Amino acid sequence: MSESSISSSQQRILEISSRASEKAQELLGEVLRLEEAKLGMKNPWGLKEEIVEATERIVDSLSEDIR
Amino acid sequence: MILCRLVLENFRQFYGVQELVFDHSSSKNVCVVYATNGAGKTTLLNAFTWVLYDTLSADFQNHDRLVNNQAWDECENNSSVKVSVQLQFDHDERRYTIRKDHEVRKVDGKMQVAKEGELSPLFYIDSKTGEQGQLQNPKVAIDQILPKRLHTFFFFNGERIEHLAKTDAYAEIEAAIKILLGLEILDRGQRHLEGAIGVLQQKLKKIGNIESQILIDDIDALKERREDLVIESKRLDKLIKSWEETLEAIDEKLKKLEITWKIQTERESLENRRRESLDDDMRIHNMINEKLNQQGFLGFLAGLSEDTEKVIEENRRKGEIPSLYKRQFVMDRLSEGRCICGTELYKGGYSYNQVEKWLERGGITGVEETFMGLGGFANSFDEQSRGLYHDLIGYSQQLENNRKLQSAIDERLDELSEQISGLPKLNIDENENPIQLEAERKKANTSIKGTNGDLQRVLYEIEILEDSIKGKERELEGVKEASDKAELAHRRVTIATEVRDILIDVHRIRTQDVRVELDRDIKDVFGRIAFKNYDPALSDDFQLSLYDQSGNSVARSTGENQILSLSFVGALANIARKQAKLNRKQLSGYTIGFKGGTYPVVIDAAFGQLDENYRKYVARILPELTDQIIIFVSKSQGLGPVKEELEHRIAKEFVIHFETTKQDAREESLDLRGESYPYITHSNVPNDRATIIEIKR
Repeated sequence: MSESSISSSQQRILEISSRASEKAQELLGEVLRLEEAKLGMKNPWGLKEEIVEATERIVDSLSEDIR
Repeated sequence: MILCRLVLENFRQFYGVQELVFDHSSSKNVCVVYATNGAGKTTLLNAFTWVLYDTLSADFQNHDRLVNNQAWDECENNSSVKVSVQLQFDHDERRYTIRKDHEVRKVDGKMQVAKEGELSPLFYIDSKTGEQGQLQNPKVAIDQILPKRLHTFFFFNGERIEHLAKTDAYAEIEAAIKILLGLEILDRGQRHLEGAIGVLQQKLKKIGNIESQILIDDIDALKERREDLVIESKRLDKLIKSWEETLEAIDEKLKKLEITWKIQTERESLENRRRESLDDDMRIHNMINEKLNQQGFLGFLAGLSEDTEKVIEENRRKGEIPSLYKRQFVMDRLSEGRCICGTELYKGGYSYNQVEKWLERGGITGVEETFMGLGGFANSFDEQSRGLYHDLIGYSQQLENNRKLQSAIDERLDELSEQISGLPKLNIDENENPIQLEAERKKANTSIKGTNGDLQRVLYEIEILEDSIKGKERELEGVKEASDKAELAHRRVTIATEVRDILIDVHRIRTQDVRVELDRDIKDVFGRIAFKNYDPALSDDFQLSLYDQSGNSVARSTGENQILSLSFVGALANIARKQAKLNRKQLSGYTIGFKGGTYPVVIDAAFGQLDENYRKYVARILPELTDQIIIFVSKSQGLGPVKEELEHRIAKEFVIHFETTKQDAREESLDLRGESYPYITHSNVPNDRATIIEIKR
């Protein structure tokens, strides 16, 4: 891939990511990390629940910050 | 991954321990192995895929008998024979060694498997530090180096690679792109987040206000309907595939029957032409859409210049806007002292005063020009509008030509079908009888058409539902909750939805980007061999096509398909190589995509059944594909023009000396650079066997 298109694509991805709230970005990183850890598994049991827990943890810490 | 050494032990035709030591440099990156048919070309390709991915190709017969016949015959009762393949390769400044062992035991003269293809750990040695180690899960490690699902693009049979250029290969190409860019993780992330959002919505529903509860119920109902339809679409898709397989099997049978093969061959060629014509229709429709999106407004401006002219003239007549002449022109007449009608003009005289009044009516220069420009502007719209009309007429003409072609093809296809149906009944099995086969063929075709219609309807409904779900989710985002607890639950749903949407957007951008890059690289590789004046393209829906200079889709021969497919392989290798050199994209601290790297391309029967001209083109393209090319060819395919094209790029050459038990076989040698190497000789042992010999360079 040429450098120019990489950087244009990178730019667009960064824009999307930067438009997201801080907590959404945190959750995004967490989801990708969880997915990578179970990438080889055909049926990654429990992943949905882990994402729910991660969401609750991250969003709840946001409300802690607000308080 | 650069292949260094392949060691075979009693693996099919190769008796005892034999090896191929490869070499490559930037200027000499091709290794050629010459072998006659049946001497072991396909075996060598399969040795690579067996040790790396535990796969054997369909054309590698008797998968369960890997042992060399001579070694087996020499094996005594209650003894065993070892079969193995060992491969050394370099990747990322490490030299890796992988080995697969298989063992068969002779019990009462019968073969029993004592060890079923056991893979060793993946050993490595760091070329810089000398550090050594072993990876206990070699499959996972190899998958990280070159993913299994990508390997068919790098280890393949040249005669079969041309399928990539056929219309039904888009799914394979799309899958390769997804793997190449690590899009799988984004796919899975979306899917699992969807599930998590469902759970979070149910939690919100329990404590949220009535508005949230209603919206969540609506979303649930819409999602449930969507799930049903997704299942239905998969069922229909499977059904279509199954009918297509039936159709393919019938076509194969009709092609094998002497009485129908000619008709069937013509039918296949017509059906290909029809498919290409339909693809062309789609391309033209896309171009029309693009044109209308950009210039469609011109259609509403018909007669604009005429209307503008009328309005300007009317206003000029009323004296509300300046006339067409310029102030300078009036001033020149006054200073010359003569009007254009010939009347002399004396300052203060009646005529002078009359002409001078025109100065005021002539208006200000800027205003004059603006109004004159307005007329020109309106005229340019008319011109553009005529251009759009002309283009649309051209497209419509192309569609009409395609329609006529399709209709002529359909007519001929009907005739061919009637010809088969009207053949005399053969005295063979009913299931093999052409009349019966043709009747089943018609049934399969009707079913495919009907099912495809149903599938399109279901897919359309899914699309509508997606939009409705999105709309409801937006509404839910805007709901204000009464309690803090409910507000928190609401926020969890909103953020999870936000993240899912980011993944969808990133996925779309990356898929599109790599498609554009691949398209560019395919054009580049294809262009470098200067093969006809054609333009290859990878469409938005991952179809590989070839166009002539007028933009018309080209009916492709097997040779053209093979070159187009090889261009795709080259482009894929190129992207994988570039990927390794670049910093990969980061998303919230996470790096997406597999690491990429340099990969070899290993091709069995690289020149397939191509004629001499196409072989030359393929030979020209091969060294351009990637950093290391290994090809297995027969003497008749690999010498002559192919050899001339490749000679300056060859790093190593080998010949497989095939000893045959067929005593009537013609003995042959391979003569290169004044040396003669045995190619086919009569065997003095009871089994055929193959021996690898390196050719001196």
